[in-house]
Amino acid sequence: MNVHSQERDKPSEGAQRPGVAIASERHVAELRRAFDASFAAPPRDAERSGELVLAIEAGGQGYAIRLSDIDGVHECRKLVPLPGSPPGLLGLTGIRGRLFAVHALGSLLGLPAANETPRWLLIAGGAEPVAIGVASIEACLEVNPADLVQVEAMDGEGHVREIVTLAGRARGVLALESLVAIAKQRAGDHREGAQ
Amino acid sequence: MGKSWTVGQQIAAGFLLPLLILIALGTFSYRSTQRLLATSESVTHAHEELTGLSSFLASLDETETGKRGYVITGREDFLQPYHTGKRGVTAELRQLEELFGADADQKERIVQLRPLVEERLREIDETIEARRIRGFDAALKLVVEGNGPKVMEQIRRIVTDMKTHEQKLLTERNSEAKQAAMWLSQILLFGTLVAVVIVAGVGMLVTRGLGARIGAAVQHIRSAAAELEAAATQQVKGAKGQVSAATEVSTTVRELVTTSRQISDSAQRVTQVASETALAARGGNQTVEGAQEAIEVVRRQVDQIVAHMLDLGRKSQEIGGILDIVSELSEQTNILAINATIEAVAAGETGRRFGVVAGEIRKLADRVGGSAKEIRRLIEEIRAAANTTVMATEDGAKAVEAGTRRFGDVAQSFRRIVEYVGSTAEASREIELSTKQQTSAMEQVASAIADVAQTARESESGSSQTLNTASQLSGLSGDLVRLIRREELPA
Repeated sequence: MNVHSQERDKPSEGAQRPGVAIASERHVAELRRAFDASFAAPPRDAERSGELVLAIEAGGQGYAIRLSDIDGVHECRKLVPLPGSPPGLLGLTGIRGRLFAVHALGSLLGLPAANETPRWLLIAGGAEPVAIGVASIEACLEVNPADLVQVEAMDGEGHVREIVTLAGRARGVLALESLVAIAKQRAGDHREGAQ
Repeated sequence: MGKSWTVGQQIAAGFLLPLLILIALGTFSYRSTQRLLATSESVTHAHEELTGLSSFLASLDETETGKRGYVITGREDFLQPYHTGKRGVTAELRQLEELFGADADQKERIVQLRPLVEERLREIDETIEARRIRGFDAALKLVVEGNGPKVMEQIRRIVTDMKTHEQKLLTERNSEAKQAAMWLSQILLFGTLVAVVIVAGVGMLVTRGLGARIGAAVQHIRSAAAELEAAATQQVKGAKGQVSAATEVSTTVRELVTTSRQISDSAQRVTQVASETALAARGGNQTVEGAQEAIEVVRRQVDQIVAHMLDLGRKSQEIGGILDIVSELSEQTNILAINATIEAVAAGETGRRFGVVAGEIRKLADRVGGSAKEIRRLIEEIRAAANTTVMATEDGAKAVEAGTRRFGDVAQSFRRIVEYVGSTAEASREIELSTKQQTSAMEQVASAIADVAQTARESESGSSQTLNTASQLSGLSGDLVRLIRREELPA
């Protein structure tokens, strides 16, 4: 008789199975109740809403970005590499009829895994927007502004000026202006170098 | 004589030499006797010739006597001598011619004598005729004037010559006869002596040779008789031992017969037990075959379980695929909600309420994503459980298959047991039959051994007789040795 049959013959297994089924049923009932309650609850006061941040991952590290710093989030579908592009410039992509230069967030942050394939593109830059590629978007969370803690140039480049704790894990809140500026600067330097 | 000659050859040779001597001696004697007889016959012939000559002269004288008597007397009866003498002269003369036929001298004298005799007889006839016719005187005149005495004298002289010649011949023949008789006597004497010496020598040689050989043979017979006696003694001992051994073997064979019968009974019981065992093994085989069929059913059901579980795994995988789509939709919805929130924030005060709705949508999308993750976890658990169940079921299937094989082995073993028990029953039946045959053979052997014992006893008796015969033969050979070599006998 093998291990599986021995495990199958354990009396504790038979005792656990009803417990697992009951917990699952409770979990499903709770989900259903929460789902129904979301539609039954009154609209929340907009004044009391907190700051929305995106928990992202780039270069193997977790960061947070204020939702107000970006112009949009899109899926990175097709990426056309540019010949002779500077480091961190992954290529061009089209989003709703517009071309965007895609820069790797890890490369802009100077992380080792700079050229990872981005899953999502964060649009930022105002009138001359660029697309910053991130590996994943873990969550979009609403945090209390009091939870955003000011710090002094944590990474030495000035890209992280605040720290927020999400799900028990401290993350640096990236300042996209500086990152967009670095991206544009690299593109400009490269263009000048090419001319 | 050669030692390689047989006794018969030696005896034949011992008889052959004297026989040759006797034949030579007889031949010589026969020839000498023949010659002596011839000489004697010649002497007899000579005597007959002399007698014939004497008779011739006597007959002639008798004719003269008759003539003279008749002349003197004139009587016819005195002529009787004349007639007798005349017939005798003629006959004697013819006989003399026959007797002297082989002698030419005597035959010539006979030829000379015949005319003289005829003249003398004619003169006598004339005288007698003269006396008869003319009387005495005329007859006397003829006698006186006649030449009778001369003729007679010539006749006498010729006869005397003939007698002298015959006497001479007779003397010679007598001498020859004496010489032949003496030669015959000497031959007989010396031949007999030589034959006696040779026969004695040959006899001695043959006797010595035969005595030596027969003595050696008798010695051999004696030694052989002694050996035969010893062998007969040994044979008697052996026959006694054989009788004893045959008796022991007979006893042992009887015990063997008893044991063989017991073996036969045991083999019969073994056959019965083997038959019962074969029945039990067939029942066990049927039971095992039934269990094997049940296990086969279980194995098919386990195969169905495995198929269902694999199907469950595939369905879970399909659910996972659908869940991926749901997750992606949730993710896209979340992204759309984020973008809506961004747009609401960008819209300022007017977009505030839209931002609230976008936040609700984003939360719903988060919940959907969380539920999708939960479902994925559950699906993974289901797949893991299904995989575990499949593996456990496969293990069970393998165990069932192993059990099936083992039951197959058990069934095969039962079939072999049935075959072996059948073979055992057959072998025990053969053993029983063989043991019965063996018992019968043992009884025959016992009978044969009894016959052998009887034969051994008879052989012992015969050996005793042989021993007696060998002893008698030894005694006889000793007697023969004593008869042949008396001087060589041991003291």
